[in-house]
Amino acid sequence: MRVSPYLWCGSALLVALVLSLTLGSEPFPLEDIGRTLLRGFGLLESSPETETDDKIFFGLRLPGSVLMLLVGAALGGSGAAYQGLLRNPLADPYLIGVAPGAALGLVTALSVFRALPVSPEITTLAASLPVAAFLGAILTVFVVYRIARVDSSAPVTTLILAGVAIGAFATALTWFLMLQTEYNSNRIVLFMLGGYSQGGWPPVLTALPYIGAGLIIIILLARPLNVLQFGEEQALQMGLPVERVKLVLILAASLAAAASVAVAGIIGFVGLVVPHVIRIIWGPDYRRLIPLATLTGATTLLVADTITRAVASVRVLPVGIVTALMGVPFFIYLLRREKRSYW
Amino acid sequence: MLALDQVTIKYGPRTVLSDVSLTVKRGEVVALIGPNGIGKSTLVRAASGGLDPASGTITVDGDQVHNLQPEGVARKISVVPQAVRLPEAFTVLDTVLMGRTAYLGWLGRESRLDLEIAEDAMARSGVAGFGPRRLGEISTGEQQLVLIARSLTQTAPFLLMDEPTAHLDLKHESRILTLVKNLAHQDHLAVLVVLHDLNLASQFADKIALLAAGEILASGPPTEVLTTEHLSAAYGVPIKIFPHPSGGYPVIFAEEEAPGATEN
Repeated sequence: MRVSPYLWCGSALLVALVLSLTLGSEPFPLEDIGRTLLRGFGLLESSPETETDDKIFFGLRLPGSVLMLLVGAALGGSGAAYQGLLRNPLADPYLIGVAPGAALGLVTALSVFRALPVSPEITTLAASLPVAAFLGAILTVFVVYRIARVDSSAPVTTLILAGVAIGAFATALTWFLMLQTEYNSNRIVLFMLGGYSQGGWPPVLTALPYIGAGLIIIILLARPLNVLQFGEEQALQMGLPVERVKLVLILAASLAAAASVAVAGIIGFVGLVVPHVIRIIWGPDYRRLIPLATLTGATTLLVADTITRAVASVRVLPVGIVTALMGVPFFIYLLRREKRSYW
Repeated sequence: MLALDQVTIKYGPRTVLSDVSLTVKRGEVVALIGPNGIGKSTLVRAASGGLDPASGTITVDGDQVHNLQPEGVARKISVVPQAVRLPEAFTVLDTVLMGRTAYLGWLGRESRLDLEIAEDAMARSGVAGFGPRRLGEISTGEQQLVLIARSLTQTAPFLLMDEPTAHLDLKHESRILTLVKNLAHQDHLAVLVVLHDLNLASQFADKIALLAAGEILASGPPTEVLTTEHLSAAYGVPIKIFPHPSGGYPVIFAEEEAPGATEN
């Protein structure tokens, strides 16, 4: 019997979510999670001895897992959209400036705080950094798009070139500011390796509207993405308003990617490789590819995060390192196995 | 009617077409011929709304093409592109169904009716039953037929084809051009086809337009356009023309230049 790919990817996500909730420095056996959830909905009496457990679960474990799920979904979905939009297998959610822009936004904010006569409250700092990263990312994408625009169109090659060039420029500025301010750069390094988040519900709530809206738009525009695979000229001749579709897709994918960078740092690999894996297994049709890459991006990041927490009980291990170490060998295996063109 | 009226097209400062006028009516095949790099593909691109003319007008059934939205143009004019690299992993059916884009909008899904139109177009183009195959698994000739099926799925009255027989063998060549002729004569489409091969143009077209040095040098029935005078002027080589023994249409040869003629 053929099992629907949605069932595969959906079950994998469910298993990953349960694993992510159970495992960690404070293990939560499955039956405890059940009881905790019931208490959370007021269906079971809570007692003083369960109160700490419930606090850890609802205040840290659950939001941590939900954040990874959300960020992974954003990376998988927007990665697939960028690859389709730019018709380039090397495209990832960061290619046209999201990651370097976010890093620059973060470092700029830190430099500004450093230059202030009174150092800000640590909570103000924590709350404003994601906003700065998000603004940096969106502004960079906007600049890239403006540079790439010739007359009324933004050709794909120009977009990629402008993205790479502006990305390099932003990275140079980031390093310059970092070295100038002599700030404790630990936070920035963690950010760049994707090991950056505050914990608790605030980052989830910050990112949810952008990631949600971005992913919904991308999923709805899967058919136009298919048409774009035949090149912009043919797409236009088939009646697709190519430039408008491209602009909306860039905005949607960049919103989702920028929000994920802002709350979790730069997590590489997921947005690049997850869509390829789905493409190799289930083909290039974006109507299926985008939802599946979204689900599987979430699964991948949940698993990587669970491993990260299991391995690094004392020291901090950024999840971005684990996603690369874990996924690249698997990807190479699939790439070598696949003989026919899957792109 | 698709009409170009004194159209001038420029790429930056370079004028590619100047004051070109041409009409294509329903029920006829017009072949566009001319030397390499003379702007035949540019003309097709402009006629389908992909390039705005520097001056002159391009109208389809009275509407200016560059005033129409992309979906408006696509409902009137479909284009079979010159042999291009296609995304190999897509299936034939999915590819042909993309011809419905102009009717589906951004968010539409293909209905039962769209599927019927696509299947009918595949049958007419001779690729019925190819649906589940991937583009990378069929030959270039078959890919060309799939692109024709995709155009027919657009159900537009005007069909523009850019070198549909390039790189194809004799069998596919005549199969495609017979199909093109039937589309015009039986289904009453207006077809403008760019052809490299003068003899194919002579054999299959109702009208021929000869493009040379950015202008239409001659247009009309094959016997009027395909003359030694026009063709030697356009191509810069001596030309010999014979009537086809059974069809009567002109058959064209480029003559070898005499060895002494150029050296002198």
